[in-house]
Amino acid sequence: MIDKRLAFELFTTLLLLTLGTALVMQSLPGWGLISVALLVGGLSLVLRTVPLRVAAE
Amino acid sequence: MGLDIVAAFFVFGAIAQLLGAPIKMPKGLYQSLTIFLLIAIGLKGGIALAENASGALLWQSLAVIAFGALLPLIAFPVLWKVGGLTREDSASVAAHYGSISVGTFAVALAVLEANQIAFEPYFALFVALLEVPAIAVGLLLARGAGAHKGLKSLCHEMFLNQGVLLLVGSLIIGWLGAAQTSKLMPFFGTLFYGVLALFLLEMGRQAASRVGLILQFGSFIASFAVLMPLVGALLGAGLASVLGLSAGGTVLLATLGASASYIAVPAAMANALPEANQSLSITASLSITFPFNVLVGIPLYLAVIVQ
Repeated sequence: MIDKRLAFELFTTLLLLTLGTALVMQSLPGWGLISVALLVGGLSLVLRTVPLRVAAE
Repeated sequence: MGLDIVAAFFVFGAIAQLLGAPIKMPKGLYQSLTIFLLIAIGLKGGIALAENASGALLWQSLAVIAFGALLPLIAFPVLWKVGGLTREDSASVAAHYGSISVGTFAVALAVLEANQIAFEPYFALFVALLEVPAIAVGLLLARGAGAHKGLKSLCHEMFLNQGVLLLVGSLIIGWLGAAQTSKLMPFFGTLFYGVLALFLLEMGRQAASRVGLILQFGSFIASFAVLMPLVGALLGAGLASVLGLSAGGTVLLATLGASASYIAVPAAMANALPEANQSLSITASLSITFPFNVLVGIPLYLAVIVQ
């Protein structure tokens, strides 16, 4: 069973990264989108791994 | 293009809060600043309307109302089916994202004026029009769960909330009294940017004070709160192109599509849909979407559309 939330978060992160990179390559301000993509992706990762570690301990 | 000097006050307020040294304003001042901004935007729009009223404006207004109704219909299934939120929470968050943020609009106006980019001066009318339909659609979406009030109170929430009332009232005053506005504009015109800076300082504090709640509500809502503005901006820019608006007007409609309400809709939803988690909606719109638009979105929409 696919985790719909995880799929949505991955899609958002990849889309923001792709758009940001494309904009930077066009000399447009894409660094903001890349930063937001890293924040969203990092948040998704941290909020999934921390509870698992706590449960394992 | 660096950080706009007005938007810098948002960052300042947020950093002070995160450092544990919040810059606290008297309770009534934030409300006073909001009232000032609503009247200033309404007056400016009314004066412009007196000079630019035309038949085409009617069709543009109808298209803008349809746009405001469409956005929550896009957001709702994502929140409900993908995010797994309750129907009431999905409808409430969708209504917030269908409506607009006057603060975000004011920042976009300031950025356009600072860059001397022309735009349709009657945009305040569209701001007022976009406040209403999302509330109606949000409540209709929630009705499936049996959450509703009478038609009379619903209409009261939609058309007589403070944001809509102040915008429309000052728009009409500006329109009818355009010849006399020189009496008012030294106050509502010259002081606009200073008041906006104070408003953003407080918004930065409020946004940063909710950072902990973002962790509590999870990463899905954070992803939604940055993806939905991009969808709204894309649709807004597309609509502006269809309506034949200028580059500045396209930036403004993209910004309105990208913004999410944190003043008018929360008040309406708290009253009409008390089952919904109001904190969830406000955290998403105020602590994620508002800073995203001010710091990343508006400079991006401007660069992509104008260049």
